[in-house]
Amino acid sequence: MVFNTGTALLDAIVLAVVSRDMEGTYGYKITQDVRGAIDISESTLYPVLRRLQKDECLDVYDQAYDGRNRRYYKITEKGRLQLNLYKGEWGNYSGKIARIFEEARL
Amino acid sequence: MNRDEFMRRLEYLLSDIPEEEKRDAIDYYRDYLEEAGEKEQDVLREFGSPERIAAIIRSDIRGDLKDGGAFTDTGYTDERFREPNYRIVPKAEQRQAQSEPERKTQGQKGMTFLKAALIILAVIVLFPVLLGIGGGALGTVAAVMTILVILVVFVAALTVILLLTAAAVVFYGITLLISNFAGGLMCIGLGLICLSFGLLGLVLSVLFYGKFIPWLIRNLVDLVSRLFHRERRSV
Repeated sequence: MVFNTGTALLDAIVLAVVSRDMEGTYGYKITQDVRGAIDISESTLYPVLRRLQKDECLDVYDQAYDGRNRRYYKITEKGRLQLNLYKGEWGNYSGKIARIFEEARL
Repeated sequence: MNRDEFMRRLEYLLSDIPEEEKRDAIDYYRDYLEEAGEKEQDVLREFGSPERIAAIIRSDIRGDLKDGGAFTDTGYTDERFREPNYRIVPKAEQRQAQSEPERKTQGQKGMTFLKAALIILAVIVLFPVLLGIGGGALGTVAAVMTILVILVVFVAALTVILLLTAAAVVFYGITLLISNFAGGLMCIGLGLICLSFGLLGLVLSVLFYGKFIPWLIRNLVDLVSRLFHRERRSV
């Protein structure tokens, strides 16, 4: 089970959110997108994004926007593989739990 | 504490970490507050103190950040970095805060028609300029635009003519009633037929100008901005 630490699940969620934007997306938007699903603080994702970048799961590039610089994050091939692994693991795990509940007698 | 104070303090607090790490963090948080726009104060409140943000960054560099965070039933938090007056704003409250600007946009909806009309005018006025710039490549686009402009004028003109004719014929019919009853009646009848076509034209015009033209312009603007956006990205 890869989700024994909270970090892995958070990494998986962030990878999933970033993967939705082919062109890449930026820190503030990623945070707001994740907040659409779970409560995280505005400051939670900086270390996560940095870690994923160091692990080469995310690529960054800078681009001018509105007269200033904006850093875009884009998922890499390695990131996609990692995300696929997470997705499989999550499906497996949540599927088992769901079955247990389905079989429960109320 | 405003944004500049916050960033200055954070920069000071991070002065002894590797330069590259520091630059990265400072850039990220400055960008973040920039993006937050009007919500800057809310975001700053959630950040807590610069000390808290600096502690998280240091913990990450040391490599022990991973050990602390945990999922709760609503989200993800790290108790080690909880400050006494700190809490994540729950989603319900965020939505409440967001619903106000939404209401404002609803109030502005009445303005969209006026805006659409102005945009149409601008397109018509700028039409020759656009034609010049585009040259041959824009030929097909120009043809479509021309047809569109003709259509715009035609629909409006037809409606106005029909309504005016209807009014004139009905009025003439009424004056004719005294001298020539049957002829007058027929005139009024013809006028009413004309009026019904005029009203049909009016309905079509309202649909055409109120729905179709704004829709078309929205899509055109969307298309153009997407084209430009992609071009900028690939550079």
